Amino acid sequence: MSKKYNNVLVVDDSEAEQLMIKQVISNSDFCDKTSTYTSAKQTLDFLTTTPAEQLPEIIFLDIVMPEMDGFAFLDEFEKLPEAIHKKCKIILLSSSDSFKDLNRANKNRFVKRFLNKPLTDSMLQAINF
Amino acid sequence: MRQVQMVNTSAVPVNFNEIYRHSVDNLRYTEGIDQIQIEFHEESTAPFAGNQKLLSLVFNNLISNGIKYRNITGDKSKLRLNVFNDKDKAIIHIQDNGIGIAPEETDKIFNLFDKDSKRELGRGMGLFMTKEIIEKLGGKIFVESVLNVGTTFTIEIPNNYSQSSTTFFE
Repeated sequence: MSKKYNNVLVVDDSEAEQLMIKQVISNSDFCDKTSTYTSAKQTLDFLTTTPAEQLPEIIFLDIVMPEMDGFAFLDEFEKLPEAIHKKCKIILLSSSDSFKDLNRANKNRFVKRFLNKPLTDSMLQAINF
Repeated sequence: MRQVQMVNTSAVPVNFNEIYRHSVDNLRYTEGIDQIQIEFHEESTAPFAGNQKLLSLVFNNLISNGIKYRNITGDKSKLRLNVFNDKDKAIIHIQDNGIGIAPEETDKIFNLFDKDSKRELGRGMGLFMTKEIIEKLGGKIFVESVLNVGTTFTIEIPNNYSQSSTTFFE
């Protein structure tokens, strides 16, 4: 059975969260390859230096991270080339039911979903862009 | 006069695989344990310390819950435990393919009694205790369930490794 996506990227400063998210994804038929980054800055470097065909189709982005948080990442993402915007859909992962975050996320044109942690298989099933 | 007091924070290095094996061993006479396939998987990037006794209770309760609410009419019953930990916390993921919980009941499974009718709720003492223990450990528990498909509990427990040695203070 073919997977929904080729490449998926998980950006979360917590290694435990990363391990769990990777496990949930690998137990589903969501994608072929899952990469991870612990910092938003590293992710920006990765996106700008990666050939378009290898870019992730989905980026799971944690909101609360040290140095550069999810929203600061989105501000920088805005400045990236159009090709990256077209390829990478962003899904925000929040650990609180913050309406402020939800409203902020809703206003951002790159954010396709706002999900509350923990990520589950049924959340993945519901993703279909 | 100087008084030296010894405080035991009760956080000791924890081996989740050992806790898991002890729990399954404790539950060996539980009805239905021979009809369920239990798997354990662990990934770690740092040592973990916590309250071993309370964590054992959490494992006992949730494994026992998975056995009790297995689906006897469906596919082969399975219970899968995944533990992921780093220097900050452990995430414990307990997934079954059991009878599941109806959406309207999901919020209530950790309660002892239904607030309105005072009737005892389906899952009784075990999950109520589990939530109390997890909160005592400074953690959180989440549940996601689909009726007749299965239930997933996700638990987060802070890692006390940096405080795990016995502390002396004056």
